[in-house]
Amino acid sequence: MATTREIVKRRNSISNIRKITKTMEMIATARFKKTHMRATGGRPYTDNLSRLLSAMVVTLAGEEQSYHPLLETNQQSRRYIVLVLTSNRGLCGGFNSNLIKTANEKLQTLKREGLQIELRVSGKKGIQYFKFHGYEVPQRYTDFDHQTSFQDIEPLADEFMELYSQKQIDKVVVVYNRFVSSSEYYPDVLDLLPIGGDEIHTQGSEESMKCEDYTFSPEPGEILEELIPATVRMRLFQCFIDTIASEQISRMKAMKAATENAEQMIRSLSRQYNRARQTQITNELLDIIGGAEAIG
Amino acid sequence: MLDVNVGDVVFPAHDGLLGVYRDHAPLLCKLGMGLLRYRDEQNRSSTLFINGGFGQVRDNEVTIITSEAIAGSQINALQAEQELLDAEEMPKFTLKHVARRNRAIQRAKELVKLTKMK
Repeated sequence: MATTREIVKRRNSISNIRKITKTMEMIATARFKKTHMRATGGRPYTDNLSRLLSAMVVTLAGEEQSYHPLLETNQQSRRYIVLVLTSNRGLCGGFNSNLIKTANEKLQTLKREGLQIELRVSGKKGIQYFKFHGYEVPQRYTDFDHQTSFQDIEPLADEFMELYSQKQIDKVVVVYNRFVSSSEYYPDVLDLLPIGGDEIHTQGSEESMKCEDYTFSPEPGEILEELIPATVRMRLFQCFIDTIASEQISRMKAMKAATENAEQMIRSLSRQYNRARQTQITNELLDIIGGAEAIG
Repeated sequence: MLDVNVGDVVFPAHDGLLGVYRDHAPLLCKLGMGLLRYRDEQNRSSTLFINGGFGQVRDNEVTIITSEAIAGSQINALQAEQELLDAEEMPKFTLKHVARRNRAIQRAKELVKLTKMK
């Protein structure tokens, strides 16, 4: 059995860990409140932009003025960009591992199809993983955190759009954690470019069923010229803010569980300590009594 | 997100104000910067400052998608004047800076104009 001193040492160290996990839980909760507002606030905007674009794409299908390079399907380069959004910090449960699992599945599927993949990773955790597993990660981003703004994402979206317009890439895929509610998120894969994918067409056919004869102001071409980049930028930004909000949920849950475990451990160690202390006292008393009897 | 039942809406399209009443023809348009007015079911008028975006009208439903919306009651004259001064102080070293500065100045000027209209 451990001595009282050993037990006290363990209890103190666990108590210190509990303080850290509790603080981390509180920080994650505070950050979550902010990021939750951004993620839920941005979602209707992103969805409505996509809906509007779908309505336009389907209404104008086949017409000359509906041409836009980002709506076209590129097939020449056979080069895909896969952007994986992970976190910079750990201690957030299965957040990164689940996402990396989804990313790996996607990468394997694309590799089997014989496509050339350019892997881009945001977040130190993902970078470490892919580096360790021998992937080449030419572009790494570590600056995106809970304070990331729309302006920070804009250049990245613009770069993707430019590469796509120049036909240097065939597709941009984003692997991210989709935020659903304050207790739910799941890893998801979004086809960022080309924007006129299946999702847009399905959504658009539903939309066009409701209405066919839109009046456009200004000309459809001019609206598309602004609407498409705005939608791409916002969809990419939404991926980032969803991931950031999901990271905070995951960290909050993980740290709450860690704090509870630490508390349980402290209780159990306190019981062990009391028992050990009692045994020690009994032994000392027996020694004294034994000694007194021997003298007497 | 604002979701209200309205009698009519007047919003700033890219080429001027546009009024939408019941049974308006389906419309998709680019928005400008300025004041959106609507009257609710109790005939109370409300205003919102909106900054660009897109508007869609169909099936007696108006969808305004904008990157910025400020309730008319929250626009403050002093703050708008200050924003105009701040916008004029913005850097103009590159083309991007100039574009950003011009946008900020235009936005602040619109806000100042709106406070004077009140």
